[in-house]
Amino acid sequence: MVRTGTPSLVNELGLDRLASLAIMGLGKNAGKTTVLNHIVRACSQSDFSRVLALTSVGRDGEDEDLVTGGMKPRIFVKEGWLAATARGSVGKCDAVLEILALTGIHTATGEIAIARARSGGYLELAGPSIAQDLSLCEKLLRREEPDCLFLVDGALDRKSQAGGGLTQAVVLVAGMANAASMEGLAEKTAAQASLLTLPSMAEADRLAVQVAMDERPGARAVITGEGGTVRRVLEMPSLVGHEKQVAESLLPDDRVLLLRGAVTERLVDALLSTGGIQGMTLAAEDGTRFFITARTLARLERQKVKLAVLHELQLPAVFVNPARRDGSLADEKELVKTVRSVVDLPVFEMGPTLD
Amino acid sequence: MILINRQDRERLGLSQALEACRCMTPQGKRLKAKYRYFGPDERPLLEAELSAVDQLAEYVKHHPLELRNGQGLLAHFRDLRGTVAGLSKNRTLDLTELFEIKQAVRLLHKLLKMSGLLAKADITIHPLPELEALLDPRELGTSGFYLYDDYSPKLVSFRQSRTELEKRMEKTQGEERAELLVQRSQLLAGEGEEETAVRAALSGQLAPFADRLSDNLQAVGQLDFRLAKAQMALRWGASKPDLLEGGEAVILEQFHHPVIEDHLSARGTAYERQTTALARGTTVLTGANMGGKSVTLKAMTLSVLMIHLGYFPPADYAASPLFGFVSYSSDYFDTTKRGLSTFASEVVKIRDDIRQARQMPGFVVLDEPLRGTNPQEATALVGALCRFYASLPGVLVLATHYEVPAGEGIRHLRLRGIQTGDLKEIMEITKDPPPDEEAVRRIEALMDYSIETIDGSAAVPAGAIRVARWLGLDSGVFEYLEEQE
Repeated sequence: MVRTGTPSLVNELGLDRLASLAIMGLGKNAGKTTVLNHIVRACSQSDFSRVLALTSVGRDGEDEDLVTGGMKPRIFVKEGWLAATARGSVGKCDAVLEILALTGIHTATGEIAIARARSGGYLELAGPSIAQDLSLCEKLLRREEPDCLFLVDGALDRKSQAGGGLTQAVVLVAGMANAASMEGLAEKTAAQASLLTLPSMAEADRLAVQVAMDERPGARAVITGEGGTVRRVLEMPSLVGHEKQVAESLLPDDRVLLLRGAVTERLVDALLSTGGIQGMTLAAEDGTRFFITARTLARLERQKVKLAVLHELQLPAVFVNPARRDGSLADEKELVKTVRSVVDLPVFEMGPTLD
Repeated sequence: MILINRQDRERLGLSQALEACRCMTPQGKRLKAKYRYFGPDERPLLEAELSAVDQLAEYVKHHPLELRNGQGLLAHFRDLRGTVAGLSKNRTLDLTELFEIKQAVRLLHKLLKMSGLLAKADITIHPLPELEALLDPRELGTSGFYLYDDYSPKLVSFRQSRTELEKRMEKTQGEERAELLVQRSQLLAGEGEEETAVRAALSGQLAPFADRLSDNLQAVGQLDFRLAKAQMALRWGASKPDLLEGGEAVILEQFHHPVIEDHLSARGTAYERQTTALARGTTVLTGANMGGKSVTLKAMTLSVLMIHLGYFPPADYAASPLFGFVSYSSDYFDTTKRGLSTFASEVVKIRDDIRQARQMPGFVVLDEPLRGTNPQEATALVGALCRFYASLPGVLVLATHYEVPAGEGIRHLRLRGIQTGDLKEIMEITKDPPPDEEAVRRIEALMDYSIETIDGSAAVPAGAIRVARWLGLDSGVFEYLEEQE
C-alpha cells in the first residue's frame, strides 16, 4: 500500500506528465488541504524539478478546513514556487514573498496577487472563485513559469461557479465526514469517481458544441442532432430555475444535450419526467459538473441515457480520510478496503495531518 | 456649466456618444467622468487642450507602433490614490502597495522614453530616479518586489536562521521536531517585526516623493484622456473646432449624432448629416412630424456641448464661441417623480435658464416647449420667449409646431421633410397600410432632413394627417376629419 507523503506519490499520481491538477473533496471537511500538503511534500522530497504553482478556489466565506483548523489552506512551499493568493492572505504567509503581479481579480479577502516564494515557508491560499478568473491566474502563473505544475485546492460544490475544463486532472478526497458509514462513503465515492472519469463526447459533437458556445457566450444548453449538427442553442442566465424549459426543448431525433453549468438532481428529474432525454447523450463541461446520486445514475441508465463530457478529466487516485465529523477516527485499513472494493482506481489512505 | 437634467442627458445620448472615447487608465477614466466644462473665460485653456488633441491625432496617425506601445504601457496603470495618500500620511505600506509603487515607477520610466508622444500631448512626466533606486536596491531591473536582504542585515540573519532550522526540521520527528517548531515560531515573530520595521523605514523614505508621483499619475491620466479623444476624433473623421469670439455664429458643417447614426445604420437606414449656422439670438426650427427636428436638436447640442468639454465634435467642421452654459430640455411628459405638473416643470426649467442667461451667454435648446399647453396661450408664450432671447447675448434654438412671427434677432430654419408629391405617389401604390416598421422605414426614406433657412416667419408645416393615414389610422377618424373640413 502506498502511503501519502512519500516521494513515490509523484509517480503514483503521474505528476511528471500533468500540467494541472485539482484536489476535490467529496464534501466539506473531506481533507483536501491535507492531501494537497501531502502532494506538495512529495514533490519537495523527490527529485521533482518542476515549479509548483498553487492556488485555491471557491471558498469565499466558506467555513472549510476545520480539519486543518484554519479558514484557508496553509501549504508549506519551497523557495521558487509560485502562488496566486489574495492580498489579505499575503501578510499571513511566513514564506518571504515576491509580488510579481496583481491580477485585477477581487475577492472578499482582497485582490488576487501572483507571488513567488523567495524562501521556504507557509503560504495561505485564497484564490478566485470563478472559472474565468482561475484560468487568468493560470495564465499569469505560466507567464512566470511556463512549465509549472498548476495545483488547485478545488471545491466540488454545485454553488461554485468554478466551471469545467479548468485542470487536466483531479484527485478525489473522500472523508468519513461526508457519509454516515464506510459503505455509504464507498458508494458515494464510486458514483463520484465514475462521473469524474466520464468519457468525452463524440468528436463531431464536441467540435460543434465548442463552436456554438464560443459564438454565444450566454449559451447554457446546446442540442445536437445526427452527425454533430447543432439543432438548438438555449441562452439563459443560469440552468437553475430553467430546468423545465430545458426539458421541454428536447425534440425527437435530438442526439446530444450539452449543459453548461451544474447538472443537478432537479434538472435530471425534469429531463426524465418529460421523457425527451431517453436514448440521448447527456453531457456537461467536465465530470465535476455532475451533482447526482448513484440512484439517479441508475435511473438514467434505465432510460438508456449515456453520460459524456466536453473535457475529459484524468482521475489518477482517490484519497480516503478516516476523520469523522466529531473528530473520531474510523479504521483506516478497513476504510481503504471498503472503498477499493467498489472503486477501480488506486485508493490512498490519508496519512497524518501535517503541521 | 451643463444645465441638463439626468433624463435629458440620457435622451441627448452624451455618455453613449462618449463611449467612443476609450480611456485605459483609472486616472484617464476619472478625468473623463468629471465632464470638465470650459467656459468663456477659459478659452486659452480649452485652446491648449484642443491643440494637444489635434497634434496627438496627427502624430498617432503616422506612428501606429508608438501608439500601440504607449497604450500597452497605459493599460498597466492602476488606481493608486489609496496607496499614494497612505504614503503622504506616513502610513507604513504593505508589501503589495510597495509593489504597486514600484510597478508605477517602472511604467513611468518607460513612458518617459516616448518623448514624441509626450511632447505632442503636451504632457510632462518627472523622472523619479530616487524611487527607482529605493525599490530596486540591487538594480536587477525586475518587475517583482519583495523585502530585499539589502534593506536590513538583521532581516538577513533571521531569514538564514529560519532556513537552517527548517532544514533540520525536515530530518526530525516527535519531540525534537516540536521543539524546533517552537523555535521557528520565535524566529518568525522576530522576522515579522523586522519586516514591519523595514517597510516603515522604506515608506518613510518614499513619502517625500508622494506629491511628485501623484502629479505624474495625473499626467498619465491626461495623456490617456487626450489620446482617447484623438482616437475618437480619427474614428469620427472630426476636426479641431475653431473657438470664436463671443457673439459670433455657431457653425456646424455636416454635423451628426454618432449614436443615432450607428443605430440607423444597424437598421440599414442611412443618416443624413446636416449643415447649419446658429447666430446670436433665437433660431426657430420647424418641420413635419417625423421630420427629424428632435434628432437635429440633439446632434446640434451634442456638438456644441462636446466643444465645451474639450472634445472634437462629430462634424466635418465646427466653430463656436464659448457659452457660459449649455442647456437642453426635451420632454416634460415624464415629470411624475419630481412631483410637479408638466407645465410647472417646463416653466421652472425655462425660468432657471433665463436667470442664467441674464448672467452669461448661454446655448439653450428647447425641443417643442409647452407642447401640452393650450395652443393659443402656448403660441403666445413661445413667441414671447423667442423675442426675449432675441435680445440676449446667447443662443436659443427651439423646435416648435407653434407659429412664431418674424422679428429682429429671430431666424427660422426648416427641415425640408417629405415633398407632397412623393408621399402621394407611394400612398397610391399600396392601398393597404404596410406593417408599422416598414411604413416608418419608407417614410424615413422619403424624408429630406436638410436644413433650409426661411426668410421671414415659417409657415406651420402640415403633413401630420397624411402621415397618420399612411400609418394606418382608422378610416372612421378621417371621415370625421373630412366632415370638419
